[in-house]
Amino acid sequence: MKRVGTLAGMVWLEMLRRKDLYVLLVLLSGALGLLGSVDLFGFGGVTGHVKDVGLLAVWVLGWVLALGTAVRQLPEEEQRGTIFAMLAKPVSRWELVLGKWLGTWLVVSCGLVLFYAVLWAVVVLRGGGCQAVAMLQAVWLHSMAVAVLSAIGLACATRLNPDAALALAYVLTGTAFLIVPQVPRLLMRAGPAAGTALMVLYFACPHLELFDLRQRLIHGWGPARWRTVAEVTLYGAIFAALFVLLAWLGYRRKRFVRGRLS
Amino acid sequence: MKRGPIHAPWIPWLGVLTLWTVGFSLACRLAPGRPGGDLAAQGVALRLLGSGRQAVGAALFERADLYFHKGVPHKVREAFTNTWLQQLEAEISPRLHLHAAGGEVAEILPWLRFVVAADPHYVDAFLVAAHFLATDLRRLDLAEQVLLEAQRHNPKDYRVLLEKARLFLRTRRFEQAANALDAALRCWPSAQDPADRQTLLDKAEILTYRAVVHEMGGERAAAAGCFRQVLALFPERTHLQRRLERLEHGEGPAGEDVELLRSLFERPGPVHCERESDEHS
Repeated sequence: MKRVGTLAGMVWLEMLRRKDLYVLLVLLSGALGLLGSVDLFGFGGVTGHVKDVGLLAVWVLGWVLALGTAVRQLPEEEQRGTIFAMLAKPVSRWELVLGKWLGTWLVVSCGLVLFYAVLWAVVVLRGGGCQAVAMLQAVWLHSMAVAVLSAIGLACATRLNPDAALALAYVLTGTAFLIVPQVPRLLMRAGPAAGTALMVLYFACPHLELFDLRQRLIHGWGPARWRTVAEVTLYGAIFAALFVLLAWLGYRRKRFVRGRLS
Repeated sequence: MKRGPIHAPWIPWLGVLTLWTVGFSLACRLAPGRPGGDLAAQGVALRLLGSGRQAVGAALFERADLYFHKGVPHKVREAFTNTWLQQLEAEISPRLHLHAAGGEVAEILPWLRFVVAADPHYVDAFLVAAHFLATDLRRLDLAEQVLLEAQRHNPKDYRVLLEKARLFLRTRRFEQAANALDAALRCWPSAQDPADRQTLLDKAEILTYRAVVHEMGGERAAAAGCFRQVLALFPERTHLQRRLERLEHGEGPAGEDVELLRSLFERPGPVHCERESDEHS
């Protein structure tokens, strides 16, 4: 477990060195500041639209950051050749995959906390507020979604080059975000073959909309029941574990040859 | 055999033809002849957006409607319901039919502002903003400003003038209300279909308000004339027949008429829920 922690720490160090997170934070702050300055027929103290656009931006940025970080972890080690040193430590491939996933999940979750903090600050400065418990639940469930996204990114990157893995991960998670929640509606117009395909999609893909508490935050519905939050957390943990397992299965017998790495 | 890249000369022309077809189709769909056309738009971004801003405006108005229903989307038919995944989703994102009320409706205003920024000829957005400012938010001054802005962009739209008249009636400015109602009658039906039921209902509303204002000024004959026009449009409104008879006999308003007057002044205006068939909570 110590080795897994060390590997996760390396992901943290790499993220701190890179400028992705800082750039995204500056972008988010600028966009929210601009949005907060819109004249609303002379009526002040309205923050719903800032929360709405801000939360959407946080979800999109979290998605981009999670997949971008997860997908480059293993291929970069291979390209640099550091994979040989690591596996000779001895670090098992299972520990390598788990450490990379854990590091990605934690670092992106930490980024999410910063994004939510910026959003909360802008909302408070505009005279609005958020229910603290609902906000905590939203951040936690969003973090669980990131756990699933990171695992998907890592699983894609075990057998593909980074660009192909990123494209595949975007297609998979984009489908989970946009199409899977619409399946019950799409089935009304689908033929038998398409219907079967949609049903497979519905039950096989992770339902990322379950981690999305934006409606409660924006429209003041208050926090969800803790039992529901626990159920969704368990659901996310199962999917994350499945994809980490898939990543390990894809990586455990992968052969590396010096000078011919992905 | 090695194959090189395809250099057929018809490919660019096919692209041009496709783009022209798409552009023509969009133009047919998006440009139903708004006053001033796209060149009336202020700002480079809006001009570049062209007629697409009408579509953007409509999408943003949908967003405002979503806020009025506290983030709950329209109900649609689904192939299956109540699976454990859907139950979990309903717990996370509630699906009750509620309306924003009181100060909550202020959250709708940004989206209405975005609508009119994208498409200043989207009169409904101005009307809804003015209505909420005047009623739930009790900011009649801001409502009047909104309607002035609406009139600047849509000077001949009777709906703006009718909403102004409602505002003047609420604030007991009867002379200004009379002027606005007369102007609304002159502009009716503007760009609307005169045979459409809502357009006819609007005309009846203008005439009824005008009749009431006439009556308050002691002009019974003019009031009776307006009521007759309403009856010509909607003969089923028998209560107006009784009212007309009383006016012709020189009688004052009865108890039910006083109630009618009160209800006219407190009438909620053009905002209505299009999902009344859904269950309300």
